[in-house]
Amino acid sequence: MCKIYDEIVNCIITNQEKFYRVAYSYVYNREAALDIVQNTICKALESFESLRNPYAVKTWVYKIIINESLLYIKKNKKEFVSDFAQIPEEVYEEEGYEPDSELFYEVSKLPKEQKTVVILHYYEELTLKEIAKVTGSNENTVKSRLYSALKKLEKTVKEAV
Amino acid sequence: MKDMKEAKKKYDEIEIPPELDKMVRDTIAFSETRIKKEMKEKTIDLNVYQNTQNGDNMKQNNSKLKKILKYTSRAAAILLVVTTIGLNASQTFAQDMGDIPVIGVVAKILTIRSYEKHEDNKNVTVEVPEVKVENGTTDKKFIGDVNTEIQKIVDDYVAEAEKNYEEYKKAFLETGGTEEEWKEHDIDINVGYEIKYEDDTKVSFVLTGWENWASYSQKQIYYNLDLINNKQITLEDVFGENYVEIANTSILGQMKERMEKDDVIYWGMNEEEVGIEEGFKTVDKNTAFYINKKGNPVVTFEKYSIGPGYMGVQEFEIVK
Repeated sequence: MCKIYDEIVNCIITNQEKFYRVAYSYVYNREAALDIVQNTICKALESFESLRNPYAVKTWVYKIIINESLLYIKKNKKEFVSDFAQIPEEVYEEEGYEPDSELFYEVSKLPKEQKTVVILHYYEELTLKEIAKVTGSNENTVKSRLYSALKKLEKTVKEAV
Repeated sequence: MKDMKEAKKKYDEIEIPPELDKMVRDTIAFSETRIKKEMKEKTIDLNVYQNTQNGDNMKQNNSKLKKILKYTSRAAAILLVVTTIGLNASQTFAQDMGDIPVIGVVAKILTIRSYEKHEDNKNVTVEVPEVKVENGTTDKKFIGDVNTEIQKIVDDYVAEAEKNYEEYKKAFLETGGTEEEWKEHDIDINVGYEIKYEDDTKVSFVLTGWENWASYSQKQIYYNLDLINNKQITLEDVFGENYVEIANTSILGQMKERMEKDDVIYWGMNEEEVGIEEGFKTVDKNTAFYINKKGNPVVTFEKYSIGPGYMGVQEFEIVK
């Protein structure tokens, strides 16, 4: 259709697994994560005209997927509470829960603003600058969120030991 | 933190459902057919609009056009261009705007300077407004200062946008893009304005700068001019000394309503988010607003400032 549209399509197909994992990290539910990815694709392709910088395609899709994930949680508040402890037992088993990667579960319990930064920086390996673009905040805000997340994680991990 | 490596490993092990790939491709195919259909409809409608000479038909089509354009992110910018076409091309329209018989002040907002520049793949389109007061008590210096400021804002914006363009081009070529590929990009830099309200004592209009390739770059500046007292109108002028409370109550109420009714998110509006830095806190004397056709102030928040960027500029009419 046009170059930028093709780039978005390419980006979605190439990075679909990454996008799925990001969505999954917010909802911890397979069907919900698939739903979010689908909504993200629709939204991205519908609004492709607003994106003209081909270098920003990936961060732009990240932005949409995070918004969609937050939206999903909001719409389904009762089923998807942010506290990991309340997530059904079988999710642990399905994903092969092992107590050795405790930090992974601590990350999931972070407030969502901090969680977003940790997921994007440590898991998806985005730079702070890219994260600032994704979250629509400035780099200093991202930095301070990352530091408070790390502080919190350090504290909880220590307490657990 | 070295444990982060462990956590990332765990994250990378999140199982990918086997149907993901098919779902992704199906969704893309489905979206594509729908978008193509919509684009076709849009193009037809724009043609109808542009071929219309008569002012009355123009107004009718305008509302239809708005409805369709509402769904595209470039709507604001396109509508601005439409406003200007209306001013220059249609007599009926011009009469509506300028020749209202009034006692006292006659003010007009006109295009003082307008130019287009095309270089390589760069298109600069600029319409600079000027406030013109014909008689009455309005202080010429006040209006003169406003006009000077507008000129400066426009010139600075265009200069900055052209600088960004050069940087973008440099980055594009340095990262392996060729000159030919670069030429395929259409880069638009636009400045325009829209009149929101006009009567014999006050005018309200918005100056908009917009680039089509950087989604962060839209800049809007609102002017609400009191032509009797020669000052910018503030929310306090409209609502009195309790304006903060009045406006905040109205905005928060409308936010809650929209969150319940539609799929919108405003940062900081959920209990779990209390204490985060972003989101709406309060209006103050610098809060941007314009005056709508009904004469009510409409408070506006830039994209990203109170909610996710895809929601665009958020507007709240505060009824007097």
